[in-house]
Amino acid sequence: MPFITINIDGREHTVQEGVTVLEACKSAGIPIPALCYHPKLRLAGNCRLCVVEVEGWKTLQPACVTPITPNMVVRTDTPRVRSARRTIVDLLLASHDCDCLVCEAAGRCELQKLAYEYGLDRRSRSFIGDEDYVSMPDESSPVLRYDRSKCINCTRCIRACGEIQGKGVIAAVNRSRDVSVSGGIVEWSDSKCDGCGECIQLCPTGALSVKARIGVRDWDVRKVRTSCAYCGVGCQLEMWVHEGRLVKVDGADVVPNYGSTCVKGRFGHDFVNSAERLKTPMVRRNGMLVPASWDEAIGRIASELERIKNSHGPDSIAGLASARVSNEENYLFQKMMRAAVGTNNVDHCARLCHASTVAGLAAAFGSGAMTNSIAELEHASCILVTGSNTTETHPVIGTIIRRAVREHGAKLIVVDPRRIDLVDNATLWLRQRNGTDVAWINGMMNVIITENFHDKAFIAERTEGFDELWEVVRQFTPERVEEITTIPAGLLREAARIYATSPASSIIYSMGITQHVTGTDNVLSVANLAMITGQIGKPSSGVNPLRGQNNVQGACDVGALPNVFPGYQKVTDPAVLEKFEKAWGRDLSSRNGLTVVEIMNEIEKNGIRGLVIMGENPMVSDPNLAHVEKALQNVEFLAVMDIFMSETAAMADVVLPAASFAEKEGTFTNTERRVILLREVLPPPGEALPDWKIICRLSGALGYPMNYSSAAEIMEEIAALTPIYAGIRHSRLFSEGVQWPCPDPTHPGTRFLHKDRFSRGLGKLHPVDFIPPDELPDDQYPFILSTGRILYHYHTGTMTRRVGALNEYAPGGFMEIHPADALRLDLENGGRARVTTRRGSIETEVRVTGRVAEGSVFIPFHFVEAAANRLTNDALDPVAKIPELKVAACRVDRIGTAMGGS
Amino acid sequence: MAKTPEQVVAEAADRTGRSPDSVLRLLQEVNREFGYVPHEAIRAVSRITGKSAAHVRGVATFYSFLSSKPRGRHIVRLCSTVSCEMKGSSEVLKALEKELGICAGNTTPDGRVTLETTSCLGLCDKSPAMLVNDVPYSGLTPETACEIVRGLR
Repeated sequence: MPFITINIDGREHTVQEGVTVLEACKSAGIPIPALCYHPKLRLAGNCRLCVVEVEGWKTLQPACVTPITPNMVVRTDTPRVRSARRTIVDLLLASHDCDCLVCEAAGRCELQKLAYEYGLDRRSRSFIGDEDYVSMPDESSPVLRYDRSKCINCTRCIRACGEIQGKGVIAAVNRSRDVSVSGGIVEWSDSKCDGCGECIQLCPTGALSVKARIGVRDWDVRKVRTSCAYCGVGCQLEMWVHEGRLVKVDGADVVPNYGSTCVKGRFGHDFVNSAERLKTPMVRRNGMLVPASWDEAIGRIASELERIKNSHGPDSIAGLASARVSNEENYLFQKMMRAAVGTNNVDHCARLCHASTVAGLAAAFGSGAMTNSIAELEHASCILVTGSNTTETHPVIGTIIRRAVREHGAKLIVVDPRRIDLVDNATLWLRQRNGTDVAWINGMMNVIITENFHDKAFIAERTEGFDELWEVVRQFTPERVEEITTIPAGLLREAARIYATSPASSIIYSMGITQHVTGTDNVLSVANLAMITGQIGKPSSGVNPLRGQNNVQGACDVGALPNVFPGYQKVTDPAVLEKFEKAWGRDLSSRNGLTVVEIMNEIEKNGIRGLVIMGENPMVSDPNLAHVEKALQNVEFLAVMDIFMSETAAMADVVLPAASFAEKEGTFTNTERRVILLREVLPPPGEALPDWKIICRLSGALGYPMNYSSAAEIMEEIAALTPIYAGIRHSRLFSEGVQWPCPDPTHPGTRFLHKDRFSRGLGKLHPVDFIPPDELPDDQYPFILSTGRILYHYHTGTMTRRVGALNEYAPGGFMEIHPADALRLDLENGGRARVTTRRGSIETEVRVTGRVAEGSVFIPFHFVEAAANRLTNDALDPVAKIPELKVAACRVDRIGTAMGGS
Repeated sequence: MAKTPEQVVAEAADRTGRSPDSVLRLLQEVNREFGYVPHEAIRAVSRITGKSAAHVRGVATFYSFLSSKPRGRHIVRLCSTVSCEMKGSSEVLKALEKELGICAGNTTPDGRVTLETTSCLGLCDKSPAMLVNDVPYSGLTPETACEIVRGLR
């Protein structure tokens, strides 16, 4: 863009053409006060505080909305300008409840700063008495407070909600001096506000504030940037710390979230302060877990594991690593299991979410991760979301999808059996029958190839196996697909055309695709669809599995899997084995270890006798809980490291207190392959230690000493052994992190994968035929049960259910059922029902809603008292060994009155 | 049986369409039917058009011809802008207030008439002017204004 010269305050400045006067002044380092202006928002031009003199204009001009012109002469600090600004601030103060002494915003309030700058105080005010304006704040939201008497009507919050979050919940109501901001009809809680808090972060005054009193002044807190502990988006947060306590969280204005967070990120970290945190090691004595010293606890684990190893061999021991702890810790954990114990029996909950992605995408492309960056999604011209309730499970990515649609005109195709919130923004919604994904994807490819929309050049140059694929796909006419999936043939055709012909189409998927006995097949199908249309290997276009947990990508990357060493290097490959034996100085097993569900099965058969679990809670998260419970009761020895006494820890022989994410250094790898830093924001409570220090102690006690002075040092070892991480160093990660593959310390990292060639060379098209789910409804179990997550809780609820505000939003478990089914079964909204499968039975609250299809039931799995996983099917995908958590057959019975005497 | 706000909105939507642009027209229909916009109607319009409830409420509370509160069967809006004022609208207002026994901005206890002042009606050449429901009256005197109001049933 060309540059032009303008004169600001008597000096020439060369600035980019097309910018506004305000932006020009900003780039020239000249401050312009502004309240309604915010660089992230569209211009409102309503506060008029940014007025400047422009030569040739009689009136003052608002700098934020005035574009620059060549040779413009601007004066920003004349008496006239100052007088106008002073009057505006004075008028704002006239209707402002100036209770700065007790206001949460004091110290960061932009109006307060201006009042001070212009020397205005209450006494100088001339217009209106306070009484008219001071009103009771609206505190009906669980997380925020709106105080109209401090609102200056700048509308930043309204624009933030609409433009940044894509929600458009809040609006201005009333007229003239009665104007205020409203979340709902009567009060805030009467709205769809989900508590993300973007509005609070952008409010220039104390009008919108965090409801829980912070109790500490802005200038008294220490602010530390770190990574969020919840989902795989990896939002960067600014944590406010005061005297060893976390007092507030803001979004940090950097990639990938640029200041946004969800309700969990902003309001869900109270758990670190919880009095229920584990503070000392505990060992079981006479059936009771009692406090013990670190030496005793570590000694007990080491001697038990040694005993089991000596009498039954190393493969009788297994370890569950964790998608919730750092890369460094997962690396050390698998190193301990492999080198100190001598087994490959190490796995973690990625098995339950994206094992099929890792297997399927590795087979198709050679690398199993999100192909594009999160930020690129905003500029995709078509986004196909399937099996991902993105706005609840990856809220900030959900926000970006909404922005792509609302701000940039992207076409959104949602394929999901539930009417998820994104359907509101969708161009097309295809409601398939649960577990029929291969069929509709084959159907889309059938349409694309039949109508000649496939990318023949891409198929010829970049892929192999097209003819074999066509042999299968040709059988999936839209009409046949309609029979299998119930998706109308016309809708499928339309979706296929939009996806294939858009300049940059991106597929987003998650557990709705992966958690099936055909999970790997589903992933292969998704990859096929992207490859035959050439919708991969380009910016904003590819296949994007959203990884569930904060570090599930990293835990996989650094080898917390039974068949691979760090960097997906196969344990069965002799050259790889030799490399790791040399590096770690021990003979290693070349036999693939057991996966999560297999470990539980083997315990029952006495194949596994000792189990070490780091930060996982299989007693709520794993399928078929009755079976898991039996296994954990029967295992000879169980050690658990956790931050709370989880349902699993309560069954252990030894429990070790771990530091939370906010109490240690390390790295996570988010869903877009970005390695991001964790910082020690707080000291760990009591005697708790970071998991990596615990592992070092335990490994030493097992006769394999590990000596690391810091997490950064561990990362150097990871980099030396892991080609995709070879260039990663902590010292490189302070600003934005680095996306793997990063082959050397000077490499900038990789924004999107498979640009000119796939990781495996040619992309492999796999012909995939449709196989129905393992368990289908019948007379005895007539409903299809599906499970998933909700916005307000995370996984087994160990963290979120200790946060008051989140419990206020979502206090307990529930089931969603269609109104027609509810009528038939005589179920009322808010009533109770019993849901039963072949594996178990739970009682829960009924929610009658059109979100689910007739004949379907949905239950979130966070709630231990109504644990969905008592019901789920542990049938496995034969390749990836992922259980079919998304489809089971169930029965629903009313609880309470007259149900045949039950 | 009287229609519910939800029914009125649903039927109106068949005429106006369900796009976000229809919010105002739907609210006008609701206001015509009930004399004001009840909360249930805001919720229904929000659901049908996909705009948030707060947004719909914002529209409903922005326009003075839409009311948030129940009002009288007849709405009398007397112009209080400069021209009418100069030609004696304040005398007319006093007379109307006396005639109806209420101050401007209120409704007679029997629910018959709501009296309001309004900004310019565009009838400055025939001031003072008022609007009774949808019908304009001009060249008013205190007497003629009262006579007109007396005729409202």
